[in-house]
Amino acid sequence: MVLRTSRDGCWDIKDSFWGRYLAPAVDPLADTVITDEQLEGFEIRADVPKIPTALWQRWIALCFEFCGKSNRELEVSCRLLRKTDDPSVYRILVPVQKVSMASVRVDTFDKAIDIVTGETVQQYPPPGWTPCGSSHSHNTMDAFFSGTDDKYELGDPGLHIVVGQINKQLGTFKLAVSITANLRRFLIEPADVLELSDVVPDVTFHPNVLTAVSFPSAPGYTTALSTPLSYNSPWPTTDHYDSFPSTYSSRRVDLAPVQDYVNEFNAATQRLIDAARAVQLDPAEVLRQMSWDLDDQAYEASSDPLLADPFWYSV
Amino acid sequence: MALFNFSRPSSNNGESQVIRLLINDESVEVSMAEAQGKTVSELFQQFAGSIADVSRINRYVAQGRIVAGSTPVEAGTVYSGAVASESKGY
Repeated sequence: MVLRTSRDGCWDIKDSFWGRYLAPAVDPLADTVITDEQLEGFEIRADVPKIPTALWQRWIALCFEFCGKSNRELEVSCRLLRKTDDPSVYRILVPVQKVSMASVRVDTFDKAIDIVTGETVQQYPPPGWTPCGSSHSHNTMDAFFSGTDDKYELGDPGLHIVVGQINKQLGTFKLAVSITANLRRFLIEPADVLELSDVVPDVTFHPNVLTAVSFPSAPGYTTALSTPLSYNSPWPTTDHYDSFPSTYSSRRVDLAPVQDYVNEFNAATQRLIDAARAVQLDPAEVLRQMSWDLDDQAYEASSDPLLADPFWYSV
Repeated sequence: MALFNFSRPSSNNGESQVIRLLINDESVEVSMAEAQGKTVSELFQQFAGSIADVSRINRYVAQGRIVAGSTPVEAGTVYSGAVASESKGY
């Protein structure tokens, strides 16, 4: 006798010498063959409302804002929502977040700024709006979904988009676009969900969103050239930006256990200086720019990395 | 030898009302027969695991109001689960 369950498939009672137990069974009423291609595929609905250009370009403008402003290339993240009673209306919220060169951490979506109006949202999701996905920037790096992205997006069904390969000089970027469902990711084309019409002039993000994004403070050390950090600072010191502490510590650590790697690092640095000189780049400027990257890496490697799970529970 | 006595999933005193679980745009319906005596979080854990990472849900909403995960479910109600934190990384 085959037992047919609503969610757990078909089972048969097996009799053995020792007793009886349940074992998986073939469904005798099976009437469909599913191919691997069908199982792995995704067919996007032709009538899916597309995110309008005027909204999307505000988000792209924010990605550009945090990419390569002077010497720093930072990620940034947003949440996508749709109006519950009119799914064709999209909304982009920029939650309060900590960003670095290679990561974003959002402790709660309950503090977020509307990218169009600058309105502050205190409860997520806001009444009348349904979460439908997210997007984040990979700045100048490739547009793809990383392992960290998978960890947080596969279980968050909806539209997830990475903006990468940003080139501020050319004004170009690349997108990786996906739908997540059933704890899986399906790659789709940008044109499937985005209106890719001409850019609307003078439309950009509301300046209030800048208050939601904080990033590592300037490196807390000086270079071998003793250049003051305040000199030609790559970041504006306006009230728009906040920062969180650098990983700088005045403690000296014993590098002896990793001396070989330190030597390799110094040798590579010397090769970088030589290479810079060979192409008429100022080695001091190159090293100063590298110091930002080092500071980001130091923060990522610290005991409180941005990538730690920010999960919390609230009633 | 009563281990293998089975009941039918819809047999529960004629109870036919369903409970709907939402996460973003995805949903799953659970019959009251299967939901009877369970809490909101238990229902998400048991039935919504195929549509979302239910371990990351940190808020439940029913009819526009936040409810505790320990709230017993009620027939005919739509419950939304919200994920409200994340990390992204290259």
